[in-house]
Amino acid sequence: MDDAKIVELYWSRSEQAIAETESKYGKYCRTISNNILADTSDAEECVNDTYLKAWNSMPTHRPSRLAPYLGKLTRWLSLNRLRDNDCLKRGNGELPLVLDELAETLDSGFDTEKELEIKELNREIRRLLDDLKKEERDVFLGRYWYMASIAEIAEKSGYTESKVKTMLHRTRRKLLKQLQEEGLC
Amino acid sequence: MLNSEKTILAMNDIDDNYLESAGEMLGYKAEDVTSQPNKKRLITFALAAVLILGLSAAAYAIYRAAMYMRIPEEGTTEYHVLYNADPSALPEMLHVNFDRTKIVLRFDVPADGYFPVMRANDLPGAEENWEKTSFYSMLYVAQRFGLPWEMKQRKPDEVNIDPKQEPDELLKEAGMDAETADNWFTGYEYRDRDRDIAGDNMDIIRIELYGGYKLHGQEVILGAFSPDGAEVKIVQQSTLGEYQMVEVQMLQASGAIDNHIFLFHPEKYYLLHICGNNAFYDFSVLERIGQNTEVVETGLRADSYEEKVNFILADLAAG
Repeated sequence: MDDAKIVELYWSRSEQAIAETESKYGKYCRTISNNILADTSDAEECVNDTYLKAWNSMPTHRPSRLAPYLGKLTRWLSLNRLRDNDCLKRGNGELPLVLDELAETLDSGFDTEKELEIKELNREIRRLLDDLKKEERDVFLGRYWYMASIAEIAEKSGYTESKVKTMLHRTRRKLLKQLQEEGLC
Repeated sequence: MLNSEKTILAMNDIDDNYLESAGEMLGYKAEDVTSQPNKKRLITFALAAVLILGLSAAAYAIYRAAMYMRIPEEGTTEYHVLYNADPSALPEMLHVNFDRTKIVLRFDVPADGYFPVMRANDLPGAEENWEKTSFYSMLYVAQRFGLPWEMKQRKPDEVNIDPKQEPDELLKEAGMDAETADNWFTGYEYRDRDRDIAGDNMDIIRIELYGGYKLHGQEVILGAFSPDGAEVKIVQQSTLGEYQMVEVQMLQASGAIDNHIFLFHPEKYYLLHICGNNAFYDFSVLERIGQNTEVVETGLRADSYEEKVNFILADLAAG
């Protein structure tokens, strides 16, 4: 069923909306959540929470594409679950490794006086992504949005792991430079 | 919070095209499903929904129901809308320890009722960062969402609501123009733009108004539908201005805390339910919102009817 029809099911408060969402996006959402939580039952709960949030949000939302809409909800819920338990830097998934990579670039010389607002960061990240080549952007998001492992990104992209790491390192440096130019870091 | 952690959070809200491109590279995509899955899955979740059960009046976000969905092997989907009078039956269907989380609030209200609407005049940061998603007047709500809207005309001068009417006509018939209706709601949902950017584009503050007739003969049952259970406790019962106030705290299995207040007007027989949705707010903030929420009657009377819904579930959580 195409996304517009599924969204229409939500808007008409049809119970079939959830079934169709699960059929089409259940695996996608579970993959995102599991990459973060590395726990299938926790991931399952987050996906269930995603459906609840989707139900609560439509109406009034009317997303044109459900994959990114649901993906963002799932990602946020999964991260929140770790935040609630103060476990952002712990856990078994890729997240601790991802944070270490980002910390290496963004947290060295971390200045508590210049606290970045998440909104500002979001703006700069968006700007960065606009300036990247598609390949660089895919790899960057594959790692830091989807939390896929370096090995998986290498396998799926066709690059070597070494190249993936180099691409990520360069993009992180670009982000740092951009933040510094904006006086944000 | 370190920049690295903020970056992970700040990345949540990015261009959908970029997300899809990266997802495609990874092979993360929608399932190409042309038929219902043929494996048996148990999917337990809780929804906030309008129950369209032949009620004589319905408005979005007035009722909440818990649904249990199972996709059996034959590929059909069953939904059970729970409206049992006996909440103790719920655990069997939802696999939650409902007994542990149930608190029932009872308010004495007459059988007859009216349609009240409200205006919340004090919401945190409303003038700056909040985007309002709200539903004004039950009449427009019903029309907008195509709800079966039936209201028997008992007397010649009483309003007869035709669901085919245009919203403006409905409002006019209710003595309310669109501009006025914009200020009056049966429910509010507010989103925080910062949280939108962070990807949590859900309402933060939820305010609901239950007209007196909705409460007649019903109980407000507080439950947290968490598979691991949750603790629900009444923190305080007191008064707030003209209201009887009950403050309830729910401690979810994840450790997250939800605060709720219920403000019942003992003379006008309506109930306000104010809470942070997936967000923590002090009781003082919720109380302030309640104190600055104006509720008026629309002048429309409701029939007293036999409800098929025997209780209002005041909170749901799926995990």
